[in-house]
Amino acid sequence: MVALELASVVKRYGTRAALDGVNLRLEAGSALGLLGPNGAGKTTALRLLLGFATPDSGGAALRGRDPADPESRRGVGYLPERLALPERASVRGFLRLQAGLAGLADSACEEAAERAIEQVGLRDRGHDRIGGLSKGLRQRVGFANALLGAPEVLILDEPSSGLDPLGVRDARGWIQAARERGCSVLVSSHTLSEVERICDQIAILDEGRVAASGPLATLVAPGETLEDAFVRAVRT
Amino acid sequence: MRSFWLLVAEAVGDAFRRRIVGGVAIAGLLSIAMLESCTGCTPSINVNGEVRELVEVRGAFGFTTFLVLGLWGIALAGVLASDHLRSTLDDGSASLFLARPVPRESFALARLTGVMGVTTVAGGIVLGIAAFLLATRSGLPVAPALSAAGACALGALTVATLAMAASLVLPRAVTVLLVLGSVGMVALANGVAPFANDAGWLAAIDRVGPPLASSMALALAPWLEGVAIPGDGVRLAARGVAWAIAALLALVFAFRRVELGR
Repeated sequence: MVALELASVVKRYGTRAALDGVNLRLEAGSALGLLGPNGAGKTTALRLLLGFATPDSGGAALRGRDPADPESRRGVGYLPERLALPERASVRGFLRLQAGLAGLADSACEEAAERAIEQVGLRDRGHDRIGGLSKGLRQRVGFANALLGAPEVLILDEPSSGLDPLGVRDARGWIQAARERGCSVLVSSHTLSEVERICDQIAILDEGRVAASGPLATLVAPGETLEDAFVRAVRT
Repeated sequence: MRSFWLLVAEAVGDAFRRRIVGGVAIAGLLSIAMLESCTGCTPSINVNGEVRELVEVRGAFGFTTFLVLGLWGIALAGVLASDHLRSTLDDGSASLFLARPVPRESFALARLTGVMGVTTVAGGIVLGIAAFLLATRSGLPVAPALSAAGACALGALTVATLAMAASLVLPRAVTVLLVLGSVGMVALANGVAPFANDAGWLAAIDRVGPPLASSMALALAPWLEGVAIPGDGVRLAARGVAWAIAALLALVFAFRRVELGR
């Protein structure tokens, strides 16, 4: 079973190819780390998978469906890099709304929101307005949103952004917990150490192409770090 | 459908929390204050050299007042719509909603409902008070005002929808200017073309454009004594509905093609 896939995808903005013949595949239950320098096409790849944009050629699939089909996003949790939460909403109110949009029954929304709040350590801040929270706490709200209703697929764009070291450690725990219950995870990040700890598969994008990909163990040569492998991939 | 109503509730709440709503409330209060003052006085006025009491031209006064307020409501809907959807794309909040199993058209139409919620409340209060004052102080019947308010609502929906679709490709300031210019132009065409021998392109706008002023004017015609407003009410209503449907289809089509988060 494939959780998500890009097949020979080309996406251009004007004359510049943001993605140029990219192939990516995430098997159900696996975790794929998407690495690359700035402007390599990582966020574009996530946007295509979520149906936010359409490829110029090639195909994308999320949970076996065309991402243009809203049903493809049922059971998908997403944490964007640029997190735009409603300032005036309370944490609990926002999560209840999102739970409803995720397709949970009315009776389950309250419970799912409470569980997510509890999970990300915001038990005492549920009534707080999101606008009054620090960047790190907002990122926790973003995580709570992505984890609502125990998704089958998690798509995380720079998940440790704004988190302090304890928060980064907590976030790793939430992702690991999701993986243990069979969730497929796609993480786009610049933080190589985080990706190394979370993911079993790596794809390195450079200038819109896949410069290297495969299981972490085969990508990193003996005696090398992931950073070494990354530098080697983008400089050759 | 459940996700649509959740989005509607969110969009209506968001629309009422916008800063511009304060300006709308002030404009509405000023309109009501002017109406209260104008319907409360009984001056003598000069019409073609003949001194007449205001009560003799009450129909024309009510007609003009209600028409201007209706056009104000239509323009308001367009101005509010010019960024109620666009802002969610600019700040990235649309991505959080559309990452859920939510059809794009549901999101766009929910945002439109938010705009129409504010417009309906503001326009409903102002037009409702206008109709009440004109009925109680000038003795004008209420039924034409109700019909005109319905025509105004349809016009507001059309203009708001077109403004929202335009905002997906135009900057906000340009969209606002386009809304104000278009509503003014259509109102001018509706006012001039039926009474001119050769109105040129104004006649074309009057014939095929959305009947923003003409449908309200025709509804309010019973208030005028001795002045006939040309036009077929059923045909005007059908054209108004056709424009509203076309505008909704244009919005859905445009929003489906928008790329998020770039």
